[in-house]
Amino acid sequence: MKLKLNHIIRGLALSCSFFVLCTQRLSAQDSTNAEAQITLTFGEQDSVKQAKAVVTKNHAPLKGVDVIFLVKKSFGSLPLGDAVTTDDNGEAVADFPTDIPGDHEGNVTVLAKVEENDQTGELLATKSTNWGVPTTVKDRFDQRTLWGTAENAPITLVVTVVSLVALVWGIIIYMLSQLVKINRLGKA
Amino acid sequence: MDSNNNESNDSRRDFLRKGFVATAAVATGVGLLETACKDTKPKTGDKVKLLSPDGKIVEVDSSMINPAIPDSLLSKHNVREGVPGKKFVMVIDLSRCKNAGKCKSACSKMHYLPDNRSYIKINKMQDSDKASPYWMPTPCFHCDNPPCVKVCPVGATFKLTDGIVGIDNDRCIGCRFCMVACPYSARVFNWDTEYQLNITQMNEIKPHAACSTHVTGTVEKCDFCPTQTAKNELPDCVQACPNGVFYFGDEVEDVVSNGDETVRLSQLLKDKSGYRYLEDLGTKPRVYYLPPVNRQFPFKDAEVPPDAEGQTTHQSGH
Amino acid sequence: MEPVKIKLDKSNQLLTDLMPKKFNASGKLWVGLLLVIVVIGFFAYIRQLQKGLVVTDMRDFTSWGIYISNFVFFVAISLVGSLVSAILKLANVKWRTPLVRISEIIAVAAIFFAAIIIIVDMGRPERFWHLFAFGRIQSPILWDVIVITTYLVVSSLLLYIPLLPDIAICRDLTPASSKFKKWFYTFLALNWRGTAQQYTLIHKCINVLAVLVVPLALGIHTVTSWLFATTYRAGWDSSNFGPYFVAGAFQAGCAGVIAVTYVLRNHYSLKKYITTKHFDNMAKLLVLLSLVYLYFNINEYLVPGYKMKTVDGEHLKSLFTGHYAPLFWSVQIFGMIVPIVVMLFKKGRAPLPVFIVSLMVVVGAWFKRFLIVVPTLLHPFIPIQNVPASWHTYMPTWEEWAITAASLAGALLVITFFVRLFPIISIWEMTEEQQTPQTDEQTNLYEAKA
Ligand code: SF4
Ligand code: SF4
Repeated sequence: MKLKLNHIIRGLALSCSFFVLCTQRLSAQDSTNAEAQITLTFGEQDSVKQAKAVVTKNHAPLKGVDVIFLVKKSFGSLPLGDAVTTDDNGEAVADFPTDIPGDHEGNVTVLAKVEENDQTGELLATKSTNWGVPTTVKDRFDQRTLWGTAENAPITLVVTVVSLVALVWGIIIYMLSQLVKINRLGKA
Repeated sequence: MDSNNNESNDSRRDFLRKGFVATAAVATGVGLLETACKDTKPKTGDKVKLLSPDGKIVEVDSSMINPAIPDSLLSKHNVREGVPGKKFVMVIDLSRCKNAGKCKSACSKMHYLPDNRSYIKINKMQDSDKASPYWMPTPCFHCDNPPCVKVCPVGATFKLTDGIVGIDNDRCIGCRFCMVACPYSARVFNWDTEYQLNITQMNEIKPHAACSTHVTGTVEKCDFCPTQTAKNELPDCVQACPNGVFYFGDEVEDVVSNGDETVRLSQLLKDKSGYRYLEDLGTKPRVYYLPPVNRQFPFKDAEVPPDAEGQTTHQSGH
Repeated sequence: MEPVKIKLDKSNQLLTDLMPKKFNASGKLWVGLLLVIVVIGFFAYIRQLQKGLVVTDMRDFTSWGIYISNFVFFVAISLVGSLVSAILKLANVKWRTPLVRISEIIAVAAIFFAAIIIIVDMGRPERFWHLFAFGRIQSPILWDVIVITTYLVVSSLLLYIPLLPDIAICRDLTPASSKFKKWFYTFLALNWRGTAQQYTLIHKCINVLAVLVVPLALGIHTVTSWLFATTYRAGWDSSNFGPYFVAGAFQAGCAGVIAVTYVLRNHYSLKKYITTKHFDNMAKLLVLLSLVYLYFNINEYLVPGYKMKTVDGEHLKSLFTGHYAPLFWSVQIFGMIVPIVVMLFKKGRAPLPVFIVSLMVVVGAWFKRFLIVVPTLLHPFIPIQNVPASWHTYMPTWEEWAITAASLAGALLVITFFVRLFPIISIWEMTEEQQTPQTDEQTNLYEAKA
């Protein structure tokens, strides 16, 4: 069972690039019910952002279909709450949370999905919006830390080590120069 | 090293270097020339950034890269910097683990390790005499304040921007300081000359510099499967676990998934009191644990599938 | 200062007594024995190069073994050079003169083999150059590489510079017929003529180096202790580790010098120069150093023992009553307590008892390093499990023993050949001492021999 799920997820991931290209388009490729369609639109009501999915069959609204809204993420799609059942107009509406992280511009890809069933088959609509919270990746990669790369060694450490080494080796070189001097004195 | 085994390994590596990464070439300069001269393919003009063994980023014409390696595997970014914009994180739900051992065998398989070896361990833990014991899988925690990286004398283990602690098996001198520095015993050493990668395996792993490539006398550990994550696929241990113990994801997205369910990371940690092992050491692990409460399975000792263990000498700690 | 005049003829008793002598039968036997050990170790190392570190008993948990503990032992022993030639000099201790060169060659030989044994421990020794190409200054290993190299150079200078006048004597006394020897000494003697200016220069150099070597000596062993103390491991995670290591090193080094001195004194009949008084003094010094080390041991074991934090507790239990208890208590008792007690008595400070006690201290010091390195690694935070039974313990293989023995034999060989080539007691400094008015202390010292 586990394997199957993985396949589904991989399949989703693969087909997703296709969906991004033709957003808002119906998708029921392998469904037995070619007439069923789902469209996804975004709207706002009382300053609450909402995703709305409309399910139709033969251009007529379809009532009582469970639609799941998800946000696409790297390793899977995050459900936005429980499934919503379509009303008389074939509409299912879900509030879009205010704290979903998007990319650096706040873009997120929303999916509206109907699980495989006899009435409609599997339906999926995808659409992007900038409703996400813009994320900036703060990394300390270039900071000077003890775990940093050789180039990112803390300045104090570098200064300490370099000055100690310079001091001691300066003395050593001085000692060697004295040896040279001893040698020269002996020749005279 | 003197052994034939190693020599053949080295020449294999050299071949690989010249063949598709031209890294050794860059190190010496001469080799690059050589490769460039031998190259009869027309230049495509597309530059690919690669990492030379001395840690420099070099741009190589993409036509110089052996087409045997799928494009998707070649990192377009500096491999010592990690996948841009990501911060990988793992959550391990201890209430679900029953020591099925599938993560270990998947890990061995994914990394071409012998059966009895894997980068993930499943430890029997018991917090106090009266508490029930539980199983605790431990991969590398990819710490954000990694003691292993701190102590490495040559930068053979390093922190990537995406949070992964990588290992460069071509640079490691085998001093094993990182092994004693890691408080979680996450690192293993390639003591033997026995298991080495063949060319196909090497091709699969090599483009991901953070990946362990089994070089005798160097250190290895869990690498969060960069070959998988680069393709937006879950690491193999996560996929293999029949009980959904492992969640993996991106901290920036605040979402983790165990293959079955995808959840908000912050919510999950809040709801289930997520914690990090030995938090007070200050190593800031990127792996979180969910406490072993409301267990799904009663604890059964030493339920070790023989195939995953390879040895029958299982002993529990305390 | 008037330059010392050294008479280069038979009438100079110092020359007859102190010039290097050919090996006699037992000397040859000794060298042969050491060579055999070295050859066996070399053979073992070739095996290790071929098969990888798998020939050792180190595994993922005990990832450091006797190579590392032997390394720490060598670093410890090497501290003695600074003790005798610098600290005692700065403290103006006069009787140290005949011991200076002995301790300095021990220091050089030990630190040299410390460097070698660390390469032996590496999984990829041929990548040693990576340390220079990619070195990360954040790593204590790099600090260790820097400070050990520096110490090796400074110790060698501290051995070599005061040796110049004596090399010149060797040069002048070598007949022209033995060409190579003549060339060798001439080359090393740097045109030494014994002029007042030259003497001023070497006195100056010795003074500067004596001051320089003290912080360096503390440095090598403190940094070496940091290889352990910078980790989180039970038994290593201690802010006490630097001074603890330094104290132990002085104790071990002092005992090492006494042992070597005793052998040389008997073998080369140096009783006139190294008197019972020397042993008495060195024994007193060793008692003092042992007491300091005992003090640090109490801190190191009893304080964590009082708290018994989980993993610390397991580690300490294995030392106090567990698997390592017999070794631990033998080392503490015979390597520290017994020596202190014996040498508190005047009779115990006679040459032979001091020699025996020093040997005990040196052997104890070696095993003490083992006890510092290995048991800790067997007690990680996450208990060792799911590994072959043999990974739960560590028992060095013959290859490890052979290589370790070879390194020890190698160090002794270096000392032996040094003694064969150069006067082990400084002729010019002894002459200088005899020519300057004697202090009371010295008079006493040399009266004792009569
Ligand atoms: S778990 Fe260990 S090996 Fe992994 S990053 Fe942390 S300290 Fe390093
Ligand atoms: S064993 Fe390798 S990775 Fe670990 S500290 Fe040494 S050189 Fe670095």
